Amino acid sequence: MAIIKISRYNPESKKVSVDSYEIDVTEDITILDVLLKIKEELDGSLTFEYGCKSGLDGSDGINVNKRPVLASQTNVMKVMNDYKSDEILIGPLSNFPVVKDLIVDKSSLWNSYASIKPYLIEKKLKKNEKQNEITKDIIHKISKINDCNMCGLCNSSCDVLKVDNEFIGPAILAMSYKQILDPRDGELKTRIKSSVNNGLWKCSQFMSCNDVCPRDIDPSFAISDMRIIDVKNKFSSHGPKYINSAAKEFRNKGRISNFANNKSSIKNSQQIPIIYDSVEEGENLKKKKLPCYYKDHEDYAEGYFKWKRNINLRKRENLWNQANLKKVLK
Amino acid sequence: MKKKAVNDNYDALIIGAGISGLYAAIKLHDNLTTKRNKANIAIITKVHPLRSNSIIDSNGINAVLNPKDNLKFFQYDTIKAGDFLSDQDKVDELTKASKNIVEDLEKMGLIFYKNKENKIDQRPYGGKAFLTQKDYSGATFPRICYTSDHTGKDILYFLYGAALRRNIEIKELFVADLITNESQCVGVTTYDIKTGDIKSLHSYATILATGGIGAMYKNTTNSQINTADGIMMAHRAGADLMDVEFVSFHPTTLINSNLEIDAGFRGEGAVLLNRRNERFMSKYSKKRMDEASDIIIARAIQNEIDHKRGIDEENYVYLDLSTMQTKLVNNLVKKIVPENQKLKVHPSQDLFLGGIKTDINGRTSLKGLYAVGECACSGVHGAYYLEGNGILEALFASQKASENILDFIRDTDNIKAMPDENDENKFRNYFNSFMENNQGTSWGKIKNQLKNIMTGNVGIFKDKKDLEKALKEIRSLKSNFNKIGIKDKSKVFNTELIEVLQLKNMLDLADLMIVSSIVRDESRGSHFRKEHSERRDIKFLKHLVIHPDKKLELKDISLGNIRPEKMRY
Repeated sequence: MAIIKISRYNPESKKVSVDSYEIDVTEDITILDVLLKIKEELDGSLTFEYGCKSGLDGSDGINVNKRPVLASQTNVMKVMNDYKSDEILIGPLSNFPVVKDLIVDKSSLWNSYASIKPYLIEKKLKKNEKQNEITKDIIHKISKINDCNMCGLCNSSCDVLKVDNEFIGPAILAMSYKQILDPRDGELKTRIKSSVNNGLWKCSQFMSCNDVCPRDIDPSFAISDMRIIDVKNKFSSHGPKYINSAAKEFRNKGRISNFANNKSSIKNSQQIPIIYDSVEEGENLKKKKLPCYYKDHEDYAEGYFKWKRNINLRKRENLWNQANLKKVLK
Repeated sequence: MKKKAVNDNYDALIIGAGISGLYAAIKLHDNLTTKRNKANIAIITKVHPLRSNSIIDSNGINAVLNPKDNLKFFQYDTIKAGDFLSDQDKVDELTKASKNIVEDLEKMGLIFYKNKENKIDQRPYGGKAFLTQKDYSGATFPRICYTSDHTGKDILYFLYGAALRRNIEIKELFVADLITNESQCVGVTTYDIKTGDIKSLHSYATILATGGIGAMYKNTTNSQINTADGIMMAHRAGADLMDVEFVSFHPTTLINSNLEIDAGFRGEGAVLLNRRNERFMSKYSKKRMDEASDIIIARAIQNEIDHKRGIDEENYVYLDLSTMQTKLVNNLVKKIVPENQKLKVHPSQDLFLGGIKTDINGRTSLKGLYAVGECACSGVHGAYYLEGNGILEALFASQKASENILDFIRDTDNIKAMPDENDENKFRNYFNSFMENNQGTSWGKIKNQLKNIMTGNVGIFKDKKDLEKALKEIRSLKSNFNKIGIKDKSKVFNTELIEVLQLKNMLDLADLMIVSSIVRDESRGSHFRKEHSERRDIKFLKHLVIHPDKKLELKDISLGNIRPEKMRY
């Protein structure tokens, strides 16, 4: 037996409420099954989006216990075990305006997808110039991002989007990266520049997008790589500026300003995780000077573990090429 | 007639934004746009294009590219896969066009996977994880072109990008019905899910690309948006349907998520086990065992389940991966399919082979109406389909339909105005009737009963007694339909109303599918009747056409050089 608490929103009466349902669950049942059961048998007015049950189409993103997931890919028993509670909170995705019950308005996501021109704009070839060949390596890289199903979970989890709605979000940045990878494309400069305008350097590399991604897209890698391209080609002045200022602060004060408490602090300290990586004594930071991600105490701890995990994750995957970084820091 | 605002008049409307809908729109746009005028077309879809069901395809596109391959082989493979029910003249055209279609996509910028010689790589079997180059499809030559292990999705995203580039208008609306004037389709009545507005749109030509019927079955690889909408609205408007008794089943999909675990896994050594831990495939296919063709595997698993030999007597069996000889390469697959595990698998409804009867140009029997993709039945696939022909046929039909529409709308005799009477009010009242029904029947119950009936009696195995029982039950559900009441009275995102409208389409099609299944008293391809487990060519080497007045007619197929031969699976 699971107690499903669903946050409801009625757009016509503007009423917000939480409805509670007791549902018998079996081993293989998913959150989507539960929602469908409620809609079909108990309350037809419960509104949510769903498509295929295999999680391929990404329409069924919701928050389960405040964590963005795909309803069809989330096992109820597992959630109950993980959180050691029969109670499951279900709500709409964060960082999107709520339209009705669990449906959010994803038009911002679709519009920004259209705005990055997600199609090949072929390079104008000079005489005797040959079109660049696509290597297998590139096909695999592109194919990895093609796995993205635009579910928007990464945007929902993004801490920068929470405070800065001019930031375009990890999903779309990853999609821009895909276009940049294509060697036949002639718009590298425009694409990087528009990415910079869309907030390429605003990302704080918390990698919560990677954590929630159901398809292992790794948007934060896409962002890092685009930053390297930006710095290498000197398309914008953001890169060196941010890295230098953060590095300077670190050298002088032995610490770096806090994150995410307000807009301006975000803008000033976006490159901190890179600095953490570049400084070996990241361990020393751990106790004294934690980055303060969240206002709430409980979330603070969660933020800390996330941060620690991410440091490890980054080390393992070697997302930032150390050599490149040293060059930049000089 | 009341004069309509200009923006409600279109040269062509395309209903559905999956691969076939987008491709048709792109082709139409390119052909209709001149220096002065932009093509006056729009795509109407009930979900965002990137949520279309095309994403589930993991196979790819068949094409004859290799000089060692031969069109004749391809034709033979297609016709044999369809258990000889294919129209051979259409298969000829399709196979001849295959190369062009792949080349057209590549020219537009789609990145196909390349082989060592930097030519488009072709494999014998679609599927996940670049697993294997062994042949399980029964095709005579490896000819599936692919972009990755999710080719359908790649093509969908790619074509959506191409549509964005062309600035093609895409409207997110639910189409409630087609509008006809003097037996010609002249537009559609739409319902805006976001606002509850009902509006008619006028078009000279209309293309249906609304996909299949997956939601009618309890287990389906399809997205739940596949609710037979287009098929039934065409039928209501006066178009013929064809071969609706043929529904294919994927043999091994994970329980619950219905994710396809393709034959590649079995080819690499994974084995099927029942409750008694037996490799039960030895009973059904002594020679090929777990590498038997999909049709046989699906029947075998269903037979085990029906005889209570499923695991824990439930409706699934194990697919044991621990015996696999190859390691999985794709990380994403690894995440979903842990290595060395026993997966719980069962057959799921896959591709719907019947649909709106169309000719080679995608024209339906209703003037001004075209159908392409899974909702259409051109007679190419026959009773089953060849792996890799699904997308090919969809793209081919879209191309043909868009060419044909050019001629159609250029001839002014073909252009008809909207009827004088407007249906908008009729629909408003119809929708309201459900909302006013406070103590009405539960639609959820009817929907689940429909799924149970279809899965139980109109699935992999059918027999006359079950079918007749199912027909009776479906008809009683249909008679309860008008008593349905819905709780949601809101105009904003009333998904409950949409569920009810979709249910209506599914119930009506279920009726027709069962009637057709009863008439086709033989076993052919995906249609298996227990009483007659053999093909009966003399009587049934024919298409079964359903006319708008529900009369059934057996029509000769177009036979060519390839004569029906005994099937050995």
